[in-house]
Amino acid sequence: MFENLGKDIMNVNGGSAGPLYGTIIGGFGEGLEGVKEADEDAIKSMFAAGLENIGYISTAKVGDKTLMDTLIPACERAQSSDSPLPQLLADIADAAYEGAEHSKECQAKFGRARFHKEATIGTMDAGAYSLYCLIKGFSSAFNK
Amino acid sequence: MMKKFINDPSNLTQELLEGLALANKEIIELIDGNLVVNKKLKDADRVTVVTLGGTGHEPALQGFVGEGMVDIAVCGDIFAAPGPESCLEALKLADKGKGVLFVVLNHAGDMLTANLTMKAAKKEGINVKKVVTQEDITTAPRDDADNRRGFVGCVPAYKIAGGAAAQGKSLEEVASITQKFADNMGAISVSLTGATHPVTGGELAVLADDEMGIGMGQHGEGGGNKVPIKSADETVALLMDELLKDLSIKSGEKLMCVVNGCGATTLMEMLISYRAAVKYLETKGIEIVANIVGEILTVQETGGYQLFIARMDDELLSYWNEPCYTPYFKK
Repeated sequence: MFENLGKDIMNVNGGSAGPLYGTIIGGFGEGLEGVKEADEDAIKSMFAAGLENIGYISTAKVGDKTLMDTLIPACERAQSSDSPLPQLLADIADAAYEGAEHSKECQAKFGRARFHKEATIGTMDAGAYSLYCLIKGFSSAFNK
Repeated sequence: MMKKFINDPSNLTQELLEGLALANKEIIELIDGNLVVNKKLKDADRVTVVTLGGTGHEPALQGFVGEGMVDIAVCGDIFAAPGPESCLEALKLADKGKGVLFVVLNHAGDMLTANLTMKAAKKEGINVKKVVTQEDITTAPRDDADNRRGFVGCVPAYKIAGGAAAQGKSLEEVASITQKFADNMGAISVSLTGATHPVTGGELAVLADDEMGIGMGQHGEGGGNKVPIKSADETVALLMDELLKDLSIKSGEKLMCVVNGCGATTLMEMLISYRAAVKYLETKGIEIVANIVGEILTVQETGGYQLFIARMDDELLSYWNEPCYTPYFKK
């Protein structure tokens, strides 16, 4: 399901966001391949694969003011958290939020925003925030 | 405040592409996936040219589809790249047995899509080579060209590629000719007034009445400097000095020069500025042998222009002088 979704998102003609989200979500799908039950291992595998997949097309790091500011800490928390579900997803969403918040302090290094240089400091990165919304959505949906 | 003749803002790209196709029925057709296709592509017995990019920059990019320039333009939404699937479709459709040149402007989304497309194309065994245009001299030094943005230079690059293809050059040759041209071009922008984003109505740039912005990007993204406005001649001299220095152009060289209006600059201003460019270069013993003066790649109603130069030689000039027939450039 995620792999098809990734493909569809890749092709919405949305600029950078299409390939980036398409690749992350396609990666989530690869991490869930063969998984029968949504348990803690499945979530860990899903986030690990999402991060691995995006690494093939982006070199952005934490602090570059991109959606990686959210994705990298979220994926790290997915691996480090010992919480059972649904708390595991809540932990990941917390890390995602902190990451998105941190992007406010950073100067853009990628995309169109980077040409605004210091003027980008103080504003949350749109990609970091939208990815937080997605991850928060996973957590909220699981809690229902 | 936005004041534009539009309908549903979410349908701008579709409607403008339909309009372009309706206005140029004999040259192009619009097919699924926002592909603008040269009607004579099916008979092409040569290397073909494909490009991609967001819309909102009319007439670029899709306005240069036709014999002698672009065979397929893959169009994204306003200021946003299309997805890789449409690009892969375009490459498949364009390949007439002699290979495809894929011309990509250096912008984050375009590059991500292009790289994914190239990967998929290799898997499918399509014979394609990619050339990236990145000539904005203000965003990075020449030795760090990968951090330079693509400006209007893609359009003359299409012409060079199309001309070389028309002369029966192989894909390797067309790619290396286009790359050589691309490696010898430079552009710099100057803006007087900002524009509104046609979907959101948001302001793309704000400039005071007495300022001009040098080095603004194709979507109004800043960077660059705001300085007091100068006369046409003074402004051209200022910009041209930067370009000549960047490309190390010397007396006796021949150049292409493009004055590309960004949307709200009058043809009067463009012509006055082009005249200034010719006269200024004359004083340095540099000759313009090819030119375009007009709106080629716009940013909605931005006031200002991009000044573009490229180093020319007799070979490049022969490709430039090949006939072409597209909605917005004919030779």
